Amino acid sequence: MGVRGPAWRAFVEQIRTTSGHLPASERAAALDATATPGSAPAGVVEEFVAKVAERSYAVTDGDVTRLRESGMSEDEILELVVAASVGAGDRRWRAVYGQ
Amino acid sequence: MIDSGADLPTRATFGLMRRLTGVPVPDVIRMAGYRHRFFGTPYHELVQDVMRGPSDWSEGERELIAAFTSARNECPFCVSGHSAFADERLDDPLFDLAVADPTAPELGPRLSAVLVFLDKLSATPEEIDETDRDAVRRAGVTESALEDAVLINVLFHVINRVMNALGAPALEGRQLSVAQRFIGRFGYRLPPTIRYLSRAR
Repeated sequence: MGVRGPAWRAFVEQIRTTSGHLPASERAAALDATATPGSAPAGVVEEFVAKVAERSYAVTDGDVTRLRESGMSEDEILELVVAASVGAGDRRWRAVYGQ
Repeated sequence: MIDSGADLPTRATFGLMRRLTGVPVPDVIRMAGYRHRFFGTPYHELVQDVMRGPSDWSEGERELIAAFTSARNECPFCVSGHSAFADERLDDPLFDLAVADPTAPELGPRLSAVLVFLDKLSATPEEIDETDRDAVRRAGVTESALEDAVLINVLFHVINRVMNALGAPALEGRQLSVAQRFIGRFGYRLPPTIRYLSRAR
């Protein structure tokens, strides 16, 4: 890993651990699920996270509405999207450079 | 969602940008401003460094890598912007050719090898192995150039998903030409007022 790798790792850690609207443990769970291949979605949140990671072009307003109806705020949904997306990016980074 | 939630100085900055350019502020900037401390500012600092900082790749080649990744992720917003940014910086427009055939000789050996590598990294990351790395090295891509290309690919895997989840449409017409001028002049950092707010506690 060269000079820019540590900056990427620091960014991933910030998304995982910083305080926000969604509990950091839930953000870390979304990030880890999409950073690791083969994680099976277990509920409405996990299904949404998997869809963002694997087929983000197919995400619809209906998917977001279902999350809202499950009690999530817009801020929480946005953090979930960011965590899932960063996890999908980190999956590629780690495939080349490891942890 | 991403209009009402931004803090007052950020909304004021966007209002000024709208007045100066005469077009709506692009979705990616509105998204970044909405949660600038959490995501927008640190993300765009990384993008600015790898897209405009020192690198073996020209700005046009880096934009092409970003547009190529965005095409593989089917992100209309990012494809529209970065394909235009790439083609205006390269001697010959290469975006359509690269997406259709990353092995095309017109791309040159280094760019072609790295796009083939990133194509596989995007689709089947766990199948990347030493053979793939060797192919890139043999084409004359240095370790630091490969790291820059991988980081661009990774950063666009992130933003492509965020913009797709928000349903951001392709940039077109005057909004695209304003984005081209804006990126050409200021690069990828968020406006200074928003960066200042991100540091303030």
